[in-house]
Amino acid sequence: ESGYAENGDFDDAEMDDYSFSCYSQLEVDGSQHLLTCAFDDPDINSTNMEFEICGALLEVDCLSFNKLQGVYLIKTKKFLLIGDSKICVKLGRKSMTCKKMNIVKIVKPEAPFDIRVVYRKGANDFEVTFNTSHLQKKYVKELMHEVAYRQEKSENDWMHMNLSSTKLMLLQRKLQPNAMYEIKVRSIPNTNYFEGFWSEWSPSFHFRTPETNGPGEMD
Amino acid sequence: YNFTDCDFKNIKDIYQDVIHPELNVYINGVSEETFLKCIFIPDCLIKIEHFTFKPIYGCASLAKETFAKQTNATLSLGCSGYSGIQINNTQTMKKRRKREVKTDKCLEQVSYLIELWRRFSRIS
Repeated sequence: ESGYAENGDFDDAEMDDYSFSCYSQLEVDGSQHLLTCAFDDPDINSTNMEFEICGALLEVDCLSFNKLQGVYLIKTKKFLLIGDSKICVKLGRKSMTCKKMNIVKIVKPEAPFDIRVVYRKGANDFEVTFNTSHLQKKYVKELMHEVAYRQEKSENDWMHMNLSSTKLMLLQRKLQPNAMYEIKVRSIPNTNYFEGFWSEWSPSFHFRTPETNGPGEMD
Repeated sequence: YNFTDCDFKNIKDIYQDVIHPELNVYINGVSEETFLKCIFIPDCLIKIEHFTFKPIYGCASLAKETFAKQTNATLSLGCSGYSGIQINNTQTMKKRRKREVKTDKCLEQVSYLIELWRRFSRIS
């Protein structure tokens, strides 16, 4: 994404930093997509500032954003999902800055949910499962998921695992016995076409490991 | 246009992740036997363009569908020198308000497209 001021020459008023970032969420509400943009500087005076997107749209040339608590949003079905759009910050009719963006390259998936852990005594392992709304979507069906887990008492000692399915086995002997663990998961687009950012983390799930470890004690 | 100077990989990626899901929405489970073939990649794209944009008796309206606009944008982006098909936005807005009837002929046409895209995807 390249940012440039529309008129090219800067005077003081225009030296304000109108840089902004955006992410898209496809089919977030039925077949409606959501595009969210915000100024990088949270302290900027955004009074009378509007955002507008033009290009790579169905049936219309441009769409205006709605403003909600300093964040600019568009919920629409009209994204063509092919080619670049131009997103501009406007003050009245004047474009203060514009960025070329491709909606399909700034996709932020919805956070996974319903993460659960089930201890399987016979197999000496823990079955971790979680859900994602993306399985039911038309676009962005394939995601990479990152599972992170830690022993609750060790603050930043997170273990990470990447997977593309929504089920994972943790070996009992890899965990401390009789210990409380926290586990969570997040997702990122994983296709040739759709790219973007990590989702938010899912809510965490907490579980306790049994008193004794299975065969092959944890060393 | 002979569709020889195109970024076939990019076209394939867009087809698999964008156009294919839209074609499936349109056809909505109606499967039609089709014996339509395309042998070489350009041949597939020529036929895809034909069946997507050329109105025929009994199916005059595919060009306004989302998958058609996505196909148009894909070929325009992916093939240098291809200027695309002019689809009049205002006209499509009026047409969209009329109750849309998916004729059997249109479903048959889209079945051809699914088969052509599938072959294109396999040989590119």
